[in-house]
Amino acid sequence: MSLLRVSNLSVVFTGRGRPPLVALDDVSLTVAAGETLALVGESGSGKSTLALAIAGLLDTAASVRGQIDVAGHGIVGAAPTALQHLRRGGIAMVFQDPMSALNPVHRIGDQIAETMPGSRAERRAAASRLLHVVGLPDAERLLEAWPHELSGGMRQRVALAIALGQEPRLLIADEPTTALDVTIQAQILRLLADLQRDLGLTLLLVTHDLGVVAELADRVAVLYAGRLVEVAAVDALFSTPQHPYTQGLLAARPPFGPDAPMLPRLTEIPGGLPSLSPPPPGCRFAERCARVSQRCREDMPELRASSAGLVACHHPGATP
Amino acid sequence: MTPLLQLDTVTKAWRTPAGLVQAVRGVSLAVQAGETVALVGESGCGKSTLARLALRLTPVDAGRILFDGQDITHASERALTAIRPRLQMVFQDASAALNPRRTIGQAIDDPLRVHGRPNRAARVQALLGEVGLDASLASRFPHEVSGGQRQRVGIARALALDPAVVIADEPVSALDVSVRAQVINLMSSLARQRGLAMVFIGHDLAVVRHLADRIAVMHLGEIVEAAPRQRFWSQAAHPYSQALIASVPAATPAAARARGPAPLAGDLPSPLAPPPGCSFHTRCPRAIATCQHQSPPLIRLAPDHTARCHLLTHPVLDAAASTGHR
Repeated sequence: MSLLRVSNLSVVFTGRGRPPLVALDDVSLTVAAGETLALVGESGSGKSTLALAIAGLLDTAASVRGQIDVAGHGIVGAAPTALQHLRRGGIAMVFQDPMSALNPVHRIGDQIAETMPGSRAERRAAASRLLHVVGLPDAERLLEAWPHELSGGMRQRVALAIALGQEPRLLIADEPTTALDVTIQAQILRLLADLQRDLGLTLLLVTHDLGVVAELADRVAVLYAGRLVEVAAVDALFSTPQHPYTQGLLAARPPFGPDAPMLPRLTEIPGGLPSLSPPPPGCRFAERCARVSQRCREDMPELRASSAGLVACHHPGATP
Repeated sequence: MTPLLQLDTVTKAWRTPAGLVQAVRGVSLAVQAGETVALVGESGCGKSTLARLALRLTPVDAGRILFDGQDITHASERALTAIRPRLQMVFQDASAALNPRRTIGQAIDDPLRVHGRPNRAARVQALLGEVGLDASLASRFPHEVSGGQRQRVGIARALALDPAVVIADEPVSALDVSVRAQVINLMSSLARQRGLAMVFIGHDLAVVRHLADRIAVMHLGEIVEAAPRQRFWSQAAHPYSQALIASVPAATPAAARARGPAPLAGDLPSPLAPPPGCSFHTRCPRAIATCQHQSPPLIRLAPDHTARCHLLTHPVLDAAASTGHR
């Protein structure tokens, strides 16, 4: 059963004296309980807008159409009190920069315990347990620590502890390892994988990094310029990507590993993102696509079943 | 052959409110004409400080910097004016490196004007073309173009004075995946066509593997291993190099499922208080008693392959250490 259902979601930002910006256009997806869905895209793809919309954290200036249901509760248009209710036992979120997610003038223990029920002693014991869960053994000392005394990796673990304290049914992680050093990223990726397995977390992982996707995702949704272009199980996405953009993203990575070839040049995706105010009428990837036809420029491709999942392309399939 | 750029036991400490940070501790590095040397390491390892020292943007505490055989460690600003055109830098964040009030054309023209070069307008046009930017962008401001285009402007500006060495500090880290490949290709083809020597500072080992002829790994202010690409990727000898290589996220889901625990537990030690002995021993999975109190010697594993590690002086562990790549 799907825990999260996003149906025909569109988000438009309107600013003073600026043309409206279509950040998300008719996005539909589901996440099953216990599943990890990776939302992949580059800057401007709308992936963070989608994450914020699901968490009910979108700026009120955004005009939102469509539906978001989390465990049967509607998010779009919900009253702030209803959203607050949803956050305990509903949705929790961790962000790229754990320092900005932590309050610099409150001790770690107080921040973890802040939203928990129970007596002070009970909450402190729960906070201590959570620190163990996220791999911080020296809990007694850490509960008294200030955020600035911790390393980046420890801060991200604390942010995870705070999120897990909500006993969320859905955890949204927005670029959770992007700001971390490589050896620390490796630790946090494994921690997230362990938490998924041990706690049965449902995880919505927002990332630009296909390596992070390979490490954690069960399924992948690829966003490009505000539209979903491909949705597939992670193995299928890596082995038989159907959309030219997905293929381009995978091919643009420098190969790595003991037997990886040394390439003279990397495969490029030419050009850049189209303007989204307003977006082009046809396929948004058309101007960068090697397979573009006249139809692509005029007629927006819809998501359709493909051999590997769903793809929005008039000319899908293996790289010619 | 005289190296183009040579650092000889360079040391630098920064005074901070929290105490003295030994950012660079006796680093020696030589860059030959036309080669790309990558400096890799995690935050606080001193790689950006090393770049600033090499460019004489900040003075060294001890050691020497030689450019084309000439000692520039204490060269006057005036003497440096003659050298700087040949030694240029590309920064991670092009939007911070460019003046928001000057057009792209002006930004590229500035170094030409300051150094009194002739035919400036034609040079600016040629440079825009060389980095793959349309000539019409010259009249635009940095905020009007994309991040990838801004980094191309940063590269054009660094190339304006025909440098022999370019130091690039995380030049593609802020770019999106699809644009990153474009800029990496641009940098490698420029280095080849112009015969540039490049110092590439980066943390993404896949990018480093693609670009660098030689790799130097820094840990808490020291180069702990340096080797040419073939040797480094097949037989990195230092446990820290091996851990960095093993920490790169998997290329495919199948590879991810096949992997073990994180290569390193625990956190980076603070550069404010580097551990005694080998600075890596607190995280090293193979540390022995000696590592805790004795600084490891520099071991030469091949004519061009060096590493600082006690284990490499131990014959039994030598074989195990050379099977580093995952």
